[in-house]
Amino acid sequence: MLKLESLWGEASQSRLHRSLIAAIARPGEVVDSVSWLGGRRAWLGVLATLADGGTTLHDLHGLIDERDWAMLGANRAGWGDAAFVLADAARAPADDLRLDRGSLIRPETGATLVLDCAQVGSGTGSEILRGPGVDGQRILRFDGIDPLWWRLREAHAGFPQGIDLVLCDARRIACIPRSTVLGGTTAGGGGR
Amino acid sequence: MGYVAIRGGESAIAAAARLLDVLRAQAGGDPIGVETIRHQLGRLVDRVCGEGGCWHPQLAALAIKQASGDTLEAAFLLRAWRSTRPRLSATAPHRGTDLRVVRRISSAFKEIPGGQILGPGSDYLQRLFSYELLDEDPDKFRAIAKDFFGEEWPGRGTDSASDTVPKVLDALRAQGLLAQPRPPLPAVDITREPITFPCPRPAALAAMTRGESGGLLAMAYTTMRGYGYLHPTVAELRYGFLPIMLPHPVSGELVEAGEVPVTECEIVTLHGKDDPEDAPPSLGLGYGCCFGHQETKAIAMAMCDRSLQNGAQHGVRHPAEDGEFVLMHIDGIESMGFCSHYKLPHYVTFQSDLDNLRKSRGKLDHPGAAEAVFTDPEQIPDGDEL
Amino acid sequence: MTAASTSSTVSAANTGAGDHFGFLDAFAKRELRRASFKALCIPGYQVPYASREMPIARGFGTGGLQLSLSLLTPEDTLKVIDQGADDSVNAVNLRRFILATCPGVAATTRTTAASVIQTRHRIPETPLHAGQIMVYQVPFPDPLQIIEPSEAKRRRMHAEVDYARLLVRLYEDLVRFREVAITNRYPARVAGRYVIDPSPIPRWDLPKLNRSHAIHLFGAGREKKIYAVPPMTTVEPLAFSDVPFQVEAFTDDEGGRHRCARCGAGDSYLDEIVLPDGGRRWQCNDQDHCDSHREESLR
Repeated sequence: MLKLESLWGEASQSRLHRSLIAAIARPGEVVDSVSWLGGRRAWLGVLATLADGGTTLHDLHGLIDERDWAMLGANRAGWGDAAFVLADAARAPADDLRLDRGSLIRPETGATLVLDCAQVGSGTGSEILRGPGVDGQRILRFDGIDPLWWRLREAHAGFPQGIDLVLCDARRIACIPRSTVLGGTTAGGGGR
Repeated sequence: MGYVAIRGGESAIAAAARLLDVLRAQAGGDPIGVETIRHQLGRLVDRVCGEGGCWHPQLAALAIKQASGDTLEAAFLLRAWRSTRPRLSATAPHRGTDLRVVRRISSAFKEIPGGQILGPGSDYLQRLFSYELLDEDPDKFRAIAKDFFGEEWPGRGTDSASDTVPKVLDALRAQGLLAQPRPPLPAVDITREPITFPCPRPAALAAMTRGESGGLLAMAYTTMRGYGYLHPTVAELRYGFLPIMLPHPVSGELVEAGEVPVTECEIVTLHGKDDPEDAPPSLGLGYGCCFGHQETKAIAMAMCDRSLQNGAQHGVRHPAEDGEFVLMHIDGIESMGFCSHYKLPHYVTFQSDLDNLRKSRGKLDHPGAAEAVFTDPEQIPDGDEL
Repeated sequence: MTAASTSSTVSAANTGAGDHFGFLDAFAKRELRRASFKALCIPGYQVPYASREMPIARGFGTGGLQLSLSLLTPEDTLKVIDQGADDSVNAVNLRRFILATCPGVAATTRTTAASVIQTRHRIPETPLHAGQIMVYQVPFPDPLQIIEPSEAKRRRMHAEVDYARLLVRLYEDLVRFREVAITNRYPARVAGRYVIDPSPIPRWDLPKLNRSHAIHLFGAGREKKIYAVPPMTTVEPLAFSDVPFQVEAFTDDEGGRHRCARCGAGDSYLDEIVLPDGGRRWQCNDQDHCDSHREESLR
């Protein structure tokens, strides 16, 4: 009998979903999901919660093994078309990497980029976030994200088009949606 | 607690349900059997299956019983049940050539390959009451099928008397009057992907086959009466049993997993061609197909299909050529639900309306007291700045 | 992953997919999650989704219901209101369905105690906090619907930030009625970009959306759209600089403000109740707020 980790079950996925909703609604806020991951890394919990046969996934750095692909059931697609793209944050994205950024009419097709990071919520790297969901500004700390990922995000930006980032480490999740403005030092008002 | 607005609750809901049950039982008599509904109210069952988007005549009959014959409510019950079922597999596209026909007619040609098969149909009946049905004798009733099928009954029905026949359209195609079939577009499961516009034809057909029969008919009728000009001819209308071919779980070979009764209609129209601009003039095609024996719905669907294609090709000139206008308004479950929702309390919004109306009247009655209202259109900011 | 029954026979206990927590199958839930996620990424934008048929009629809150079912976990405390009341028939019916399909979820009428609040036509008077998610039942998701029937055209207008015709409509109302004749569903701009239909909440409630601490999710089941207002996000009613947006005034004959006849509140949205003798009386619409206010004043 196949023993499944808890993150494949509805009970875990519904809690992971709530963590994700909290994280995407408040960009930069770090949520700890260790209770629902069954020992797996947070990126797999994110994908198990959001991806299935109804969507497409691209695994840029081969982080997903065949068994997990089968469990996810997501359709494989090229990086330019996939709704979800998974990558190792420590490895720099290729110069020509272009993800789906959505269209003005259908911006929601812009990709969700899930990055597997060394640390989220602590570490030596940091970004200042402003925009919807942030009261003034929020500082997100992290480790193990190649700086070119920020440039990739910038290259796709142009609200409402853009890509949405989900940063994951072993247990923690933080999000940077396309509506978030990165950088700057002043504590401005919330919203935009 | 004083005078409070009408509020119900658990007990009110239970009481309403109970009274509904009383309504159907208060006259006494025998409860109607689901099998009786299924077989003796067959067209009703077909309609509910069609609008419910699911071929399940037993549950459709139960839905009809539970809804006291309200087709919208019955189709809704079936739809709500259907949406909880997993999608297990998808069949390959079929051309309808393997439909085992019980009835097929063509109004385009007198003689057609395979012959006209009138089969069961009410078209040429005189609509006069059969008063003997008021008090039908059960023995005479059973004799109807026995006389027809002889010793093979029970155990034999019209489905076993059916066979496949060539399609009328193939004859037109052989003469080059109708374009050859194009490779099928990928099917769209509108229960899994929301319809957006412009809408691909498979999604439009899926929406229409689940459409409310009366709603679809009204749309089609507008095209017949001058809101659009189709000049249609029914090339072929068939009713019969369509085999459902699914891959065998082990061998992968297609095997017949069952059959569903369907009505299929193909209309052709003059000057509604699908060909490129430089091709010679040819006929345009409209297609309709729905569960069970529902000829009016199948014809209406074929007309709307042709009309929508015309709109997509030449621009919308009439309401029934507008995909959004047709497809967003023919769903019985959605339109019925939304129409019914107006029965819900709206006193918050109505209070807001009254407050607005009183303010507005106050200002118009006392113009001097009104605050500054600008009248210079130049002051209207454009969309980008507020 | 999804062990849904494949049986097609009629079972005695016909609960549909009653064996799933939250009624919906895993695929439906994931689609709702993806749509909710993107809705929060693009505040105010209407994300299309394949709304499932629910055993509750379209128009009675199936969009909100699907959102709630996709959100709830057994740790949640749920409040359902319709027209401000927890015990109105539709609210009772929806709550009953949710509690029956989500074992472990607790129900409350207290705004402050709820983690998920499903609502039709009201935002509670009690300020919301960061741990809460508001779920709105939405009949018309698109504010442009009052001026443009075609969704294809409306999508283009949203894409191009083309709200000029909507503003003209407001202007024409001012000229004709001295008031903008949009009383509820008042259009509001989210985070400086998309204009939303905030669902048929009265104008009174609209300022509560601005920089709210809670997450606001809007579900239109029949129209198959989900949209969102994240916390701490600006929500500005469309208005003109010289004609500011105004909420309902509840002005009495002397030019003062009606008060709740039950709790005495002078700062809540009121129901007008016509009495058998033809007289009128005013009472808080938000039942929980009225009860709390009454308990406080009795203490």
